[in-house]
Parts: sequence; structure tokens; C-alpha cells
Amino acid sequence: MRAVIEARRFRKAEWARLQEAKKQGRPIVAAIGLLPREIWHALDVPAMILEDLSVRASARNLSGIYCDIAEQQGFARELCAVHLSLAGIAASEEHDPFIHSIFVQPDLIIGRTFPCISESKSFLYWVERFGRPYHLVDVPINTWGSPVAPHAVDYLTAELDGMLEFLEKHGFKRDPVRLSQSVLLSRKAMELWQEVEKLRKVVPSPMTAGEALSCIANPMMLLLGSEAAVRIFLTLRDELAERVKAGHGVIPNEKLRLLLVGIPPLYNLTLMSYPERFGAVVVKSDLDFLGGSPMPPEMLLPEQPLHSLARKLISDLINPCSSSKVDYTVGMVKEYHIDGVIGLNKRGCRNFPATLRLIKDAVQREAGVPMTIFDLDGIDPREYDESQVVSHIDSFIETLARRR
Amino acid sequence: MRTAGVDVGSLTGKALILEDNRILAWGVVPTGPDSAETAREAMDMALQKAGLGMGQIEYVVSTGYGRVVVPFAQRNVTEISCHAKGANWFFPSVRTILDMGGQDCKAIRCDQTGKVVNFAMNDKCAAGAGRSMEVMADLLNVPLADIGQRSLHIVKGEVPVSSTCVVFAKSEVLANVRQGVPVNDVLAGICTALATRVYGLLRRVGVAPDFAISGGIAKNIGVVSRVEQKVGLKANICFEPQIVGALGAAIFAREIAAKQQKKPATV
Amino acid sequence: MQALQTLREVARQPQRVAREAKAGGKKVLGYRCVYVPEEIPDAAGVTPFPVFGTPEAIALADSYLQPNMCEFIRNIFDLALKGKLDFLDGLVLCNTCDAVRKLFDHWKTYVQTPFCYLIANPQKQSTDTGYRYQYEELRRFKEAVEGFAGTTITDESLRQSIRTHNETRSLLRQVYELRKQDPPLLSGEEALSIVMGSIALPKDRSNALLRQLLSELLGRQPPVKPGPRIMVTGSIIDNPTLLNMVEELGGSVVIDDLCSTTRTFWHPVEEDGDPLGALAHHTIENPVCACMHPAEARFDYMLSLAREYNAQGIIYFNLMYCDPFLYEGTLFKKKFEEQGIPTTVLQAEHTSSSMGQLRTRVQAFLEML
Repeated sequence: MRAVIEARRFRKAEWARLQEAKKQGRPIVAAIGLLPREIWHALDVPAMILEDLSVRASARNLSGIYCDIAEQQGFARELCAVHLSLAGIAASEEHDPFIHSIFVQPDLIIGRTFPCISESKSFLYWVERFGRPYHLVDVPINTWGSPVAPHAVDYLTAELDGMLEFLEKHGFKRDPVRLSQSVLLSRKAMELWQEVEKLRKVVPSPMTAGEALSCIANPMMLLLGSEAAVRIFLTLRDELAERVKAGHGVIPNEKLRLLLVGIPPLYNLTLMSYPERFGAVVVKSDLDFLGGSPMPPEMLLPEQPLHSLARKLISDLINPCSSSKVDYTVGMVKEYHIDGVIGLNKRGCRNFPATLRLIKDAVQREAGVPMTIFDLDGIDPREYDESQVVSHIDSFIETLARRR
Repeated sequence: MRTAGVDVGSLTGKALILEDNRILAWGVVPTGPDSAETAREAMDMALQKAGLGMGQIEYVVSTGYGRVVVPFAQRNVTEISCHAKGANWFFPSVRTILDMGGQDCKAIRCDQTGKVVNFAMNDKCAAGAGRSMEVMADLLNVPLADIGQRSLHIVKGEVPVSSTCVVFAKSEVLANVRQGVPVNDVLAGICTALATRVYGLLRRVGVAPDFAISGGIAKNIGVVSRVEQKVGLKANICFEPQIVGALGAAIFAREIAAKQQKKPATV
Repeated sequence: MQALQTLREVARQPQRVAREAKAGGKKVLGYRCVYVPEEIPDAAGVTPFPVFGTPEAIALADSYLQPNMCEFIRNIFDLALKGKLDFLDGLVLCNTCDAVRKLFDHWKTYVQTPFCYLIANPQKQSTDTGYRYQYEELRRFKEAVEGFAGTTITDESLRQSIRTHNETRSLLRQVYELRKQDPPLLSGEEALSIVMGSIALPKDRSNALLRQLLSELLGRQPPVKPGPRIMVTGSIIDNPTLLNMVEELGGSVVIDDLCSTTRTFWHPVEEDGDPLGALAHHTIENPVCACMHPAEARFDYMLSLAREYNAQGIIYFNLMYCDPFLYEGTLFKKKFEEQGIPTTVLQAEHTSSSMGQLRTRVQAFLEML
């Protein structure tokens, strides 16, 4: 897809920018992801997003190596592989050439208490390893559903303001005009995303969830608030509109539509298209709505940038209280005309796998759609057994086909 | 003074008799279902070789997995302390010890007196322990004692084992052999996998020279040479690496007995 | 040692206390984690009850919460699914770890007691905005409890409740003073039982028992032989297996930092001024849980405990899959050792048989000291 190629180009440009910033001696911020990236773009902060490092390592089949290194540092194997890999990357003296090309020594570290304990604690190892000043943003959990409680929004607004103060103390300049612009760009991207979502719901599906990983999930995590995200989503929207108009689906004879909940094996993404041989398409995955928020884009107000970003982050579906995520998933199942849901139980994650049963019961009850759940660590390939996974998918598709 | 150390491990029971600072004799027997019985058999074997009776042993310390059930021992000390003590007796300059037993594996750091200063232990997973070698020996029908040598004579190229779990590794290894990969190349991969695991454990305590390996796997040259390569140090291995724990226990017995003799008897 | 015996019996079967309250016509609210202000339900005439696990095997919970989640929380959820917590009219949780937050979601959906509440407290220490946020959280919580109990909580009743709870805290601190001696005047098991019993019982009853206990303890002989002085910290410990093991192997447990002990009573709540404000301050000023930030404050607090009680070694207990303490233990082991206090991190499951496997590590650690 053109959008996928474009997204890749922007991603590479981001990495190059980071290396360039390091060469120029500008302070590099290592940040736990999903803090409002609009702020990095507005303040021109060279930010290295930690989970993105992990994801890249996994895509190159390097997670096993880095997890091993982390275990040698005393970290338990039971921990989340995203964060084990991060500890391993921090501990390594030498890197694989690819990781070397995207990793830079941080000068500042920014962490966040959200959405899980790993996210809240693992960056402290980076702080210790690199001995750099750090700042922690406390993100309230959302127990209220929608709309989010005003006192929580106020608190997070103040927390984000504290983060800006920390950045200012270390030489970055707070620019209210650019912050507003960034929020506006984010809003534009979110509006385009909604159009994209509408087009994706068409049967037959014009794109796969695998493609969405690069041209939706990734820009959503890294590029919101920049022109780049708008450009990518614009390209994507136009491309999807063309395909829909032409009645062009991913495969010629689409029989079954699947929703994937959880992290697919990033080290073996061809698995995402495996069901296609049975006429089944993975049309949607929860990864591409995790960075998104069910909050209407028009609530992103340029005149209240931090407040808007705070509200958006609290209503983000990654928020650890499950009800909003369960409701949203049920909505997706209905709107995307999903025939079956595949839930992946990632070893070491105490957050998402513990919503799978809630989702399974809810989609069965409210949409009459079955869900299968099995163990698969999408990051760490050390215990991946393809034959097992494939036979699980085979039997699930068989039961779906029989239901039709 | 004559003292004894009895080390009841998961695969073998060992007993060793010390006269002052000289090793008189030792016995090694396979561990049976009854740990007390295993201890007794090993002790009898050692006593027989030394030509002594139990009454001539002043103090006995037990160690190892079954240390609490040795009826004739006055005290028990963990194998971690005993291996450090025993390794220190053989090689006073040793500061890092790797003890690779059947069921578990330990990385130990000690000071110049053989006192433990830090340790890490893997007892949850068979993949990092001697038992995995036995499993593979059975699977490939290769005598356990030959694995090390054969793993060094690679025919085409080492075949890595990617699974870290013994159960998964078994099917992986079997698949390779069925595809006609030379057994030596498979064995090389197995030895490397174990060396990698134990090296990870060593990294957790940090390696300081000199370095020693004790326990049954020290006899497997294939694993030892690979660990040495990773650590970057030559391993000191005594002539009978299986008895280091029992020796340590016997030294503890001597130290305790000497202390008690010095103290005036109390009621 | 009448008082000690009574508290020990309560600690062995805390559930009984809640059943009795329920039978006496009280509403009972179970709660978990140290940031739930018991003073609020207490002031509304509702019995707050710290839910503990039991050592039985998990049967029903595994199909809801994957087996690689905190066993303590799965255990509680399992008991609820089995109907063994049917004396609870509700559950109150606070914002600590993943497992607790997931317990909230699952309880709401599958247990469905009349009341289920999660206090979304901040996880960062002492900021003004954090205080304002927590104040509002507690105000909402108070309102919810009032609705549930059908009463109004006046400032005066809340203040009185704080005073009563503070007395328990202060009496427990006095009991803990006795552990400073060498050898300590209490065994690790005794200390755990005393605290667990006191937090489970209604506070006026706890206070009477603790006063009696203090007079009984004066002049007793130390129950454990002198040995290396050990601090135990980490994940929740709700049975004495590990503590007994340390003492059997020659150590003395002289201080602990646990969810079932010190974390619940170490810091008093202010008694003057706005009572809700005092409770909000209490939460945000005391990062006693590993979920809380900054980690430096946690470390300083633990180090001061270790120093105050002259601990020679630290056993950092990690319940399998308890992430907060898995991370913290890994990071703090080195820091404690830099301070000259050897530290060992032990991992085990909630069952006592799994604890048994720790024997070699505990013994080797004591030999090392």
C-alpha cells in the first residue's frame, strides 16, 4: 500500500532525525510511549520512544537475545517481554547493527505510571543504567468511563505541565503557538482516522490489520501532532476510498472477517495473513485503536492544548479499567461485521490478557460472535511454536465456517 | 581429627572423610528414593575405603538437597556454602564458582576464606541443569560420558537449539536428527545452549577471577570449554568435581568440632 | 499470653470476624490494599474487612484471570466465585497494581455484590494537584459509602474514626518497638499474627487487645535465639511459613515492610482539621507500596526501617507474578548492598509447599551473613 510505504519513510526520517540531534549534541529524551507525542513535536524534542525500540527488536527477531541479557541482570523471566527487551537493550554494551542505528544514549528520561506496572517501573532501570535526570508523569486511571471525571483531567493537565517544566529546565522551549498547532494537527489526523475507520468497515475489507500496524498503529503512537501523521492518514484515506469504490477487497472471495485482540507475533507477521488461504481476513486488530481514543476529535481544542491532551489520554482505550475497552471491542465486532475474534494471551502481561475473558463473554452475549483465546507472546519468540499456533487457528476457522 | 561431609544430591549421594586437612576417602552412590538410605550407603562406602568405622568419625555435616534427613549428621549446611568452602580448599585463589548439579545450578562468589559473598541459583528449570544432558543422552542414545567429547567434533556445523524449555528442545532436537543432521552437531548445539544458560546465571553474580567449576557437569568437556570461552577464563576443575560439596561439608565439620572443643563444656 | 493467643486465632481465620459482623446485622465491605481509608466505612457504621487469601487450590478463577497473574488476587477472586466470600456486601479497591485493577473489573462483572468501588488514587507522592485530585476521589468515595450505608458521615464521626484507627496504629508501633531488642522480644510469626489480627478486628476490640498484649509482653523472655537480624519485605505475606523458616534456620525476623503489616499502620493520619483532607494527605504522602512513586522515597523509607531495627540482611520476598515487587526487588537489591546490607530476592508461589523450596536459599543467605 502507498500509505504503508509512506509511513515507513516517515519512520526512517524520525530515526535519522534522532541520530542527527545526537550528533548536534541536543539532549535526547527517552520516553515511555503514549505520553502525548503532540508535545514532542510541538517542542521539537528528539524523543526515543522506548516501546518502539522493543517492537523493532522483536520485528528483527532480536527480542530473545535482549530478554536473555535482561535475565542476566537479575530480571525475572516472568516479566513482560517488551520491558525485558528494554532492560536488555539498556544493559548491552554492543548492539545489533539495526538496533544500533535506532538507539541513542538518552540524556533525559520520562516515565509514566500507566497503563501497567511494567510501564510504571521498568524505565527506572534506564534511569539507573544511564544515570540521567528523570521525570515521572502520573496518569490517572479511568474508572468513570465516558465522560472522564474533570478532577482527573485537571490532575493530568497539571502533570503534563510539570513535564513541560522539566523539559524547560533542560533547555527545551515551551511554545504555546506550536503546542496549539500540534493539537490541531492531532485533531486533523484523528478526524482522518475516523474516515479511515469508516472505510475499513466496508465488506470486502479494503485493507488488513497487518497493513494497519505500519500505517495506522505506528503513526498513531509516534507521529500524532505532526504533519507526517496527517499526510499518512490522508494518503490512506484516499487509497481506501479508491479501493472501496472499485469494490477491491484484500482477497477475491472474502468469507470470514476476523478481529485480533493482542499482540501478533511481530517476529513472524506473515501469520497475520495465514487465515487468508481459508478466505478469512484479519480485518482489524486492537493495536490500531489502542493509541486512538473514542473521544470525539473536535474535543481537541487548540486553545486548551494540555487540557485536551490530558482528556484524550485518560479516555484512551489503553486505560487499565476494562469497561471502556470491552464496550469498544463489542462495538468494533458489530460495526466491522466480525465473524470471529482471536485473543492472544501474552505471557508476562498482567493487563490485556486479563480482559480477554471479559471481552469473550461480552462479544458472545452482545454480538453472538465467538472468540478463541490462546497463548502467544508476540514480542518474545523464545517459546513460539508455530505448528501449535497454526493448528489453533485452523480449528477456530473450521468452527466458524461450520457456523455459517 | 576425623570428620565427614555427606552431600545428598538429586542424582548422586557423596560422602567424604577428612583427617585433619587430608582427604582419606570418599564414596559416590546413585540417589535412591530414600535420602537417608542414600546418605548411609555413601558413608559406608567411604568408611570401608578408609578402613574406619562410624565411631571413629568425630563430627559429620550434611549438605545438598537431602541434607535435613541425614540421621547421623550433627549439623547441616547448604551446598552453596559447602561448594565455596570445598572449591577454596582445592584452589584458594578462586572467587567465582559454578556448581552444575543434576537438578539445579548455582553461581557463587566467595572471598579468600571460601565464605560466600553472593550467589544466584536456578532450581526452577531443568534446561539450566545437568538433568537436561541426561534427557538428551537418552533421546539420542549417546552415553552421557561421551557427549562432551563428541560435541567438540563438529561434522558440518553446530545446530543451535532455539527452545529454552527442555520439553520443546527435545522435539526440536529429534526433528533435526530425523532430518539427518549429524549427532555430533546436534550435541554441540545442546552443549552451547546449556553453557549459555549457566553463563547467564554467572552474569547475575558477576565473574571475578579465578574461576572454578564443580558438580557433575564439570566432567562434560563440551559444556566446560564453552563456558570458559564465554567467561573468558580457564576453569579450575579438581580431579573429582562431584565431591567438592562433600569436602566443603567435611571442612565445616572440622571447623565446628574444633570450636566446640575449645569451648568449655556447658550443660 | 491471652491477647497474643486471641490475635493469633483471628489471624489464622480472619474471615470469621467478618462473618460475625455480618451475623450481627452489619454491612461488611471487603477491601484490598493499603490506600483504602477504612476510616470512611467505619464512620458510616459499615464494617471494613481486609480480604485475605486462603491456602486452597485455585479452581474457578483460572478461566477468567490467566494463571500467570498474582496468585493472591486470583485466590481472592476464586473464593468469591466459589461463594466463600458471601458475607461481603461489597468490595473496595484502590489504584495499586494490575492485578488489583483487574480484580475490580472481574468482580463488577462476575461477582456482582451490591457495592464495588475502585478509588483511583494518584501514584505519585506529595504534589498539590495530587492532593486536590485525591481529595475529590475520597469525597466521591465517601458519598458512595453514604449512599450504600444510608447514613451521613459527619466530620466529627470521621474524625472519631481516625482517632480510633490512629490508636491502633500507635499501639502496633509500640509492639514493634519490642523488636528492636537483641534478640527481639517477638518472633516474626508473632508480629505477623498480631498485626493481621488487629487489622481484621473492629478497632476498639483491637485496641483493647493490644493494650493487654503490651502489658503481657513486658518482662517475657525472647522467644527466638539470637541470630542474624533480618528484615523481610516485598509482596504480601499472609501466612507465617517464610518467617518461621527464617527463624528455624537461625535468623531473627526483626522488622518487616509488608502489605499485611507495617504498611497498614506505620504512618498516623492527622487528627486536626478537615478529616477528608487528612486522609488524602495520608495517601499521597506515604509511598509505602511499590506501585507508588518516586522509588527513591520508597527506598529511603525501607532503608530507614532497616537501620532503625538494625537489620543485618534483607529478605526481599516476591510472590510469583507480582510485578511491582519484581521490579523493585531487582532494582533495590543492588542499592541495599551498596549501603552494606546484603539482600536476597526470593521468588515463590502463594502455597506453602512452594515456600518450602526456598529453604536452601534462605539457609545459604543466613550462612553468608
